[in-house]
Amino acid sequence: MIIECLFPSVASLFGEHGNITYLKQTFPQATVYETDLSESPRFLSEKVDLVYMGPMSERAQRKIIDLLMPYRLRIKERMDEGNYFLITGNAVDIFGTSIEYEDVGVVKALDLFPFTTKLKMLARFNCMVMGEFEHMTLVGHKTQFSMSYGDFKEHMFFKVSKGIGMNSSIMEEGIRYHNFFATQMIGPMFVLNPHFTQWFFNRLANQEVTLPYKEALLLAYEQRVKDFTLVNEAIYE
Amino acid sequence: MKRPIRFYVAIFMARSARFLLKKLKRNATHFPGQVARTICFDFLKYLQQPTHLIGVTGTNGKTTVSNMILDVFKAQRIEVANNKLGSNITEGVITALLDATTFFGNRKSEWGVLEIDERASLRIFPYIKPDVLVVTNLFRDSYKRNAHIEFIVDLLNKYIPETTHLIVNGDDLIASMLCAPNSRTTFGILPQENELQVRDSIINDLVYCPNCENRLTRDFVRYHHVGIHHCESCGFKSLPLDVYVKTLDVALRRMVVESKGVSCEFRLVGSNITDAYNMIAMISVFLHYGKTLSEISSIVDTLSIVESRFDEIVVGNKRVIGLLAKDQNPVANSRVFDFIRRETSWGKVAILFANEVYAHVDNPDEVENMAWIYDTDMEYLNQEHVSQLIVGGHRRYDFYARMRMAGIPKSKIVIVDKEEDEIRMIDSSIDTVVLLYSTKNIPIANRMKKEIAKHLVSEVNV
Repeated sequence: MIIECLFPSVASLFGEHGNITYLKQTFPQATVYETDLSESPRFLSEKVDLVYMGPMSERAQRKIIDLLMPYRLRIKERMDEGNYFLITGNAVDIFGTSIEYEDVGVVKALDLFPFTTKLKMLARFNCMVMGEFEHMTLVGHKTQFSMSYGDFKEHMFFKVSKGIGMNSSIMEEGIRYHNFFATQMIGPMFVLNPHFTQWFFNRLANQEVTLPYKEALLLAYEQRVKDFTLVNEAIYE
Repeated sequence: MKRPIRFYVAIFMARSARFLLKKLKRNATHFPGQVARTICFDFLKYLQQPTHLIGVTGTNGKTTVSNMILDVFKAQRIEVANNKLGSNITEGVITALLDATTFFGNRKSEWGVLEIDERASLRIFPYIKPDVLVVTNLFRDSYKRNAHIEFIVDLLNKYIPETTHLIVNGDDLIASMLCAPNSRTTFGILPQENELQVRDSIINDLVYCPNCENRLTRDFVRYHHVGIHHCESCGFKSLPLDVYVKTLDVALRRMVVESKGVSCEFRLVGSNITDAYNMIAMISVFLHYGKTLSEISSIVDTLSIVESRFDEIVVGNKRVIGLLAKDQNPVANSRVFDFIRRETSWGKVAILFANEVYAHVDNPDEVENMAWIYDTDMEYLNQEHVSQLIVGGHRRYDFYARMRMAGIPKSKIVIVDKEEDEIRMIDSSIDTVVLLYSTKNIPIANRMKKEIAKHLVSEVNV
């Protein structure tokens, strides 16, 4: 198993570092590359089983767009080949057509999916997210400056039942295209959602995977699902 | 400056609100400011500030530094307007300045010390121009409010007045690089002989050179991004320190401070390196205003640290230590955990987590985002002398999962359903009980500390 974490020195905000730790603990024999901003991503030139990238600052977002832009068609090829990806938080925005920043204006993104993202730096948005995917309940939070607009129906990752989807008017959340999974929700995703993680890791490893301390994750998950169900208003300040 | 009628209406209403709330023996430190802003949104613009105004901001330590500065003023019998009892956002600042002005908002106080929340700087600094602004440090903080450190740095760079002299933590490259055109004093602590570097922090908010974006070389790492850095590519390096702790003896609670070739010994108030940072920040303020190191030192001898930050109850040969570990703030918690892991002299330690789990009184309808515990170095608690980790409250299973991720054996973790059970579950062989609490639940923590002490008394008597 080869796992590549893209740019974790800047793209692991909001506790998403927990995803990388959990991957390492679940697959102790795996080779885990933590690619630096000064390096070219390995998955473009060699076989990598899973590519992970987490949330980042807005400056880092623009830097990473610049770094990945020359490889956008290669990235699409990897997606079409069925390569696994998990992209979380505002790393998702990089795969849309453009991002509109208040200070620098519109920046072209990788244009691999038909959506644009707009940021309002003084209107930070926070909410809980609960949704359904393959008969599993997913949970997490959103903490972001942005909303994304476009057509999410075709490649929706999951439908939100509480909270918001890619913007406050829709319930479609994230992107799933073959084995490319992307959500603006943070968690950390793998830690907060043991049923999804089991499903994902089994497919990734092509065998039944033993999740470390799964009983602890399940206790936290069940409590969170219960709490999210009881709460009246998912959006909070 | 010509003041609009709405200002006079606002000041009258705010003062009335403050008078009435005080009569009702209520905390009148936020609401009057809220009243003033509702009537006159730019109220601060028309309120005269004290002749000398000191601001204190930063991620961690701003309350302690503000309180230390106030204590030094108090020891000199100098009256100072302040927001010690109020909030550090706009409303609290307004209320503090209401006390510092005459009925119609003209200057009354010569001195003012304001703790200023860095996130609120955009609403405060356009109107309030401190002579001096202390920046204790800058780390990532609450994701909900502060997002990430670049967001906060951008706000501070944009809004800190150009005329303000900065007193910045020189060991923190992010804080020390703020507002390039402003004059500044840097403070810090020199690397100590045999000082253990903490290179295993999860969070490092400064990886790349602010000049050329190449990876920085970390010459000395105290923790996270605090330390000494340089860039191999462009020659950029940490700023030299103007005021610094030359030698620090935490065990003897003494430190030698040096500035401009003059050195002086100080009593260290507290027992953590962060206490030394807080003190050197305060010392730098008074040096700026012309005091000598020896004058400050003699005043410091009379100070004691604010009780809500670190306190200890001794029961026979056991003790209860309360430590503030700010909720939603991974660096604050990591610092506390690092402190605990180094204190092997405490014997067998039990840690009670009450720093997040009792915050639900504020907003019972909010299920907290616990992502911050994955940025927190919980691994530091995986130590032989830490025998029990006791968690309760709404998010107890999240803590449990995180502790397991940190490699803490299941046998050391105790999960309880009720708050009172946390105390009952303390093992009789424990020597030191550490109670972690948040800024939101200080009264609960105080009650719990007493109950723990009572529990230990009964254990001792048995």
